[in-house]
Amino acid sequence: MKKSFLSGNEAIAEAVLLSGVKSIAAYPITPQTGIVNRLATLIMTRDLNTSMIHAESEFSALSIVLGSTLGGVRSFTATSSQGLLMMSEASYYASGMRIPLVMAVVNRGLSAPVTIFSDHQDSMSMRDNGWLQFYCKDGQEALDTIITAYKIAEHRKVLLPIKVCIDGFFLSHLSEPVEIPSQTAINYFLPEFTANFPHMDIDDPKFLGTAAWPDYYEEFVFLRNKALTNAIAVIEEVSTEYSEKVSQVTSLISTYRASDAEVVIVGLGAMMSTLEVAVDKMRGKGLLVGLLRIKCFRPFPNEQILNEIKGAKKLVILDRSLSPSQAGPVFLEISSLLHTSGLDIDCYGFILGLGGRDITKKTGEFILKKVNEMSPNTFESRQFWLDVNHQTIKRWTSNE
Amino acid sequence: MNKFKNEKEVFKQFPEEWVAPGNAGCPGCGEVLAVRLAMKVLGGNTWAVMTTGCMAVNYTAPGTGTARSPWIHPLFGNAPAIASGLAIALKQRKLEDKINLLVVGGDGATADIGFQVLSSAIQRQHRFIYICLDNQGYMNTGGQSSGTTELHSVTKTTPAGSVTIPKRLPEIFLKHSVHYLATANIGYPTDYMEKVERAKQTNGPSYIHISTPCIPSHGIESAQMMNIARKAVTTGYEILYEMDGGRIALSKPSKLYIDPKIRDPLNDYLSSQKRYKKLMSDPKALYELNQHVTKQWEWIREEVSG
Repeated sequence: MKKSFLSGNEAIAEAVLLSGVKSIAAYPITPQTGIVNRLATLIMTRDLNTSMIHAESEFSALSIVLGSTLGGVRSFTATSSQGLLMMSEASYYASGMRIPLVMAVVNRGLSAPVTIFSDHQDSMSMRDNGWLQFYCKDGQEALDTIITAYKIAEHRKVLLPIKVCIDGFFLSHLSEPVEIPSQTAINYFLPEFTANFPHMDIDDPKFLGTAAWPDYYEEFVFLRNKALTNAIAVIEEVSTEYSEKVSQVTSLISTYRASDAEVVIVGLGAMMSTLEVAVDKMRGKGLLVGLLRIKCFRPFPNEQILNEIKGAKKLVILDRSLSPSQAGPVFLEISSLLHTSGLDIDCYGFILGLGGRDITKKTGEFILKKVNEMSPNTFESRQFWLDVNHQTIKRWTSNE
Repeated sequence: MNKFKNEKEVFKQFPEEWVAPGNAGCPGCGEVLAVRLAMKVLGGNTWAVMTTGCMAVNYTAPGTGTARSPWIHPLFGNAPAIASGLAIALKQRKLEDKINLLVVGGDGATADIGFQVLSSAIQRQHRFIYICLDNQGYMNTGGQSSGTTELHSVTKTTPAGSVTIPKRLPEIFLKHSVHYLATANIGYPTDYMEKVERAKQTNGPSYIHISTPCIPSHGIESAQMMNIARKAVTTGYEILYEMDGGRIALSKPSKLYIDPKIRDPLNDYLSSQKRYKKLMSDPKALYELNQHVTKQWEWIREEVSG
């Protein structure tokens, strides 16, 4: 397979074209711009028949690709941060209308204060909009996930839009060797787009976007939720097929040295590959530590996660976002899962890496040290702010 | 030249209905008729997008599915962007010349919440027809003021009369590289249908602004809708014109009224509607609206002579 030196953004652009996308619309926002710039260049240099619209806002960018999908064409958009918030209204419409679409979200913190750097608050703020959400660990996974996402989204049992998230700068701007599959292999895996859902069709006219009063609304929500839940099996099936026909890809979760681990660190995205180095180091000191990376956050793979953590003594959950006053969203999912499954494992929630604050291999050791000092089931053990600078906080609040 | 005979003949001439009976509009609603007539011209080979508003409710209230061709109701503000996406799909599927693309929006969707979106969709030069159904307010939510609400007009949010000058949408979109633009009035159905026909023949973005009285919010009787709509033209308050290939021309219903002497008094139009009741006892306000009419005619006179 061809290997190229690509940034996460460039890897995504390659994946979009390999997937046979014919309609792209986007609005520029850092750090997503690399995807769109690359696509524009590739469409020109390869002389491709792919339509590209530089929309006047993210609200329109998402609306345009919803329109082109309903018109029967495979479509793509990408955004970050404020742009994702601006898409919010159209994003609920997308899942409600069961429109299969793939969007790349290059994670970035939210204003105010303004930041261009990475955390997961943007995509987490869209946690409940009915889309599937994947968090990638590197550029290779981003490429493979975009391609598999089209097959998952377009599956008859799913028919829902998908966000493929990569950490801003850490993945979007970091270049790594990435294997680009051949177009032949992808064509063998991903068939041409056919609208197998209600769409604009002269021969079978429908009024799309109906109202539903109290006697029907809830049934729509029920079926959408069922489709999202069904997607677990579809993701596994499609990922297996991709692994057989193209190359190995993670489906829902991945683990690292977790099988005999007493302490399992749980989290999303690029920080989990950094922590692999930390785990090796800690293992060298005889600590039984492992990692569980959740790639698919929506639908939440409850059973698959339970299966991996049931032997652990302690769970350390890392969140690059926050549900204010409570804890991080991943922590809340895991504690709810433990409660309903009757497993009694101590859980420690860490808030870290907000607004691009770096997570290094040292972070891993620091986490374990803190966990040993803390008691479980306290406010502190739900949301310990690992890397906040208390000297700064003290200085800023000294007059209060 | 005139494909459409008089308004009595036109229903015989085009018997096929693309908007089936049974929608939830008020009796005598100007908008319902405007959409029905537009679809008679465009026919079933049309993809249509409808913004949120009365028409969307008329069409989608459960049990009243009245469209016989593909329609989509997206959000309040994104219909032109959805249409952009549909235009891309038509182009990619090589259906551009076979299927018409129509967007129908109220004045709120056009002047306010979807203004930026329409502006950019026109800039992108897709082949699509945008019809703005203007009744000068948010009638679906009970009659609040919008960007096109006339000065001194009473709405639910301007109980003492509107204090702002409305956005003149056709003039705004004239400066938007539209290939075809027309103003129309539901009181002149065949003139309107001819304009829809011309937009259909246009290979680029077209904008048609049609004034459609609202029964409850303008405070008029259902049976009077057409007559009151016509009064807007015979008093010179509304000027019907079209721009085709860069040239602006007065339309037939308005041609006569370039001469102010033969226009009906503006009061005839205003006093027929409850929303202007307060205005009728305010000489200063009446003067302001009369001034507006004079200025509009000065502008069009310059445009058609130039």
